[in-house]
Amino acid sequence: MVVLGSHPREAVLRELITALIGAPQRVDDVWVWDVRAVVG
Amino acid sequence: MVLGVFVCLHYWGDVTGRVSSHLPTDHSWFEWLFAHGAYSVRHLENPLFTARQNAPDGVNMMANTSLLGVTLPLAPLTMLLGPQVMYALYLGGALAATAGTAYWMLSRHLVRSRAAAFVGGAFLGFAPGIIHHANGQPNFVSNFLLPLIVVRVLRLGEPGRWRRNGLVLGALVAYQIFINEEMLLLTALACLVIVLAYAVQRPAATRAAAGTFVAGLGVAGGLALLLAAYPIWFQFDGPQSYRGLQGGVFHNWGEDLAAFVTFARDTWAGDPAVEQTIGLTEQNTWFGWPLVLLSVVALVLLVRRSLPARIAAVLIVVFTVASIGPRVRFNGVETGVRGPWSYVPDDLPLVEMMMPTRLTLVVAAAVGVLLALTWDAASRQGRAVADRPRVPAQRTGEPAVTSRRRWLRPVGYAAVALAVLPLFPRPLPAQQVEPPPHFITAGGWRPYVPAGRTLVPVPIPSNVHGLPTLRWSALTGQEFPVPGGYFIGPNELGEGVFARRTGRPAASSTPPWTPVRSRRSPTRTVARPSRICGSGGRRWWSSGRTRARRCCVS
Repeated sequence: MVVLGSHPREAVLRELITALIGAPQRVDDVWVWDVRAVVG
Repeated sequence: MVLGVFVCLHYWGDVTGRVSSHLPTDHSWFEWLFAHGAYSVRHLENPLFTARQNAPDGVNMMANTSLLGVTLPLAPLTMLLGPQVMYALYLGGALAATAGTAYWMLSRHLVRSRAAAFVGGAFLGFAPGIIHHANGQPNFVSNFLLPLIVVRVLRLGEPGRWRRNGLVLGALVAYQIFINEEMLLLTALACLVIVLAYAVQRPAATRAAAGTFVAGLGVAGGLALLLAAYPIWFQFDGPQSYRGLQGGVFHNWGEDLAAFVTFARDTWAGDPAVEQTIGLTEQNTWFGWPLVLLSVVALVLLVRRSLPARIAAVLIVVFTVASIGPRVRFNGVETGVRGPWSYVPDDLPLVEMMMPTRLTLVVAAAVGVLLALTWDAASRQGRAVADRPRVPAQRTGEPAVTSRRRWLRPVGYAAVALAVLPLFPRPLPAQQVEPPPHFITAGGWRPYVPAGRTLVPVPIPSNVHGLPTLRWSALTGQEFPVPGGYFIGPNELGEGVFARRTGRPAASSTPPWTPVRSRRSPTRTVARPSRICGSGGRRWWSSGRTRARRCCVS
């Protein structure tokens, strides 16, 4: 899985990863991209 | 010990929230290494390799500054206290331990005065160059075995004890391999020069002891090789090993001539402004004017009377000249004068990875010994001659001479104090760093990461923008593998580079997340240490472990 925590450029990073692999979920204090379905 | 804690004072102020502001990269790397030691012990895995960083290829820990000789024995403490506390605790302890073994060496074998051994030992443990390395590089501070190694080498010639001395030396050398191979190499070079200098001055004694010496050396070499053969093979031929480092660019890193008389940043007399011209990366000599003058005067006074002082003089001259690098540099400006390293080919094995400036650490050690000799000589002024070795009987008229010389004692003490006090260390600079997210520390990630899979933090862990995310791994017991990281591994040609994956062309070897790098401040490597990079908001750091020089937004 891909995880983005608090970061000075968090918004840009979230947009970038979203464009690459889809929409994240907000879990606890991070953004999570669960890619298990993608990588098999 | 108190001084060791004092040096780490800023870390202790908020030990879980701060890292070195000089080298946050290496500070984080060594925290990760303490975690690696604990992980290897807990999971009974081969500590010479890890796949918890740079997954799935992994990292060859022998080919990196893994400090296994420390992180493995201290693994239980790391599990108990965490890598951050362990780092600060160990750093202070290593400084003090080096001063301790140096004191032992000096007081046992070289000087009579305990105060002299204390002065010399304190300098060897807390020399400006060592304090500067303490900014993120505990492996260059962990020199506590080196005095013991030097003593054993010099005792190898003792009649009838070659077996015992050789075995002890072999064990010490093998252990030092797991602490810092570079310092071991420097120590070996220094010992070579010491032995040669001794042999030239005492040819008869040397001939008498040569057989025993060689036998002891053979035993030592044999044992060290036996103990360290597999790890050393692993280092050069194991998985993720490499040849050469960044194409030998570190040959350029000679010591600036002005550096010898400048005060280091982290000393009482030092000033951060010095980094504007020289010493951005390493401040290995940085003795300041008073100590340089004292050393010269002391050498002039002692060199005719004392064999150890003569040998110290040889060490100082040889290693000072050798440290100059391929071009003589003065006050940040490279002159046209060729230095000794311009005659050394860039691709000579082993030597290709050496950095000329670090040869001056031997000079610092010799100066420490010289300080002890100076104090010792001063303490004997005006004392009864019976104190002195090699003087069988008192001569008549001696009391008159001693009373006239009595004033030399306080003068000598004062001179040493004046030279050394400005070098008293200051607490190392530190900066706040953001802790890992609660999701990571509380284990919320577990349901998402099946065995054998990685957790990919954004940005990808690296020594640049991915520094905070590398710490996610370091501070959570390395329970999930991460891609990327901060280490030296092979590129597609098998050459040593920083944190680059194998099996891909160079252009795409960085992860797809590279675009997050700010266009305004691309990371770049600069070959010349004396250049100043940008202004306002930019900050230099050298990754001393990797010996790269990078310029980044702070």
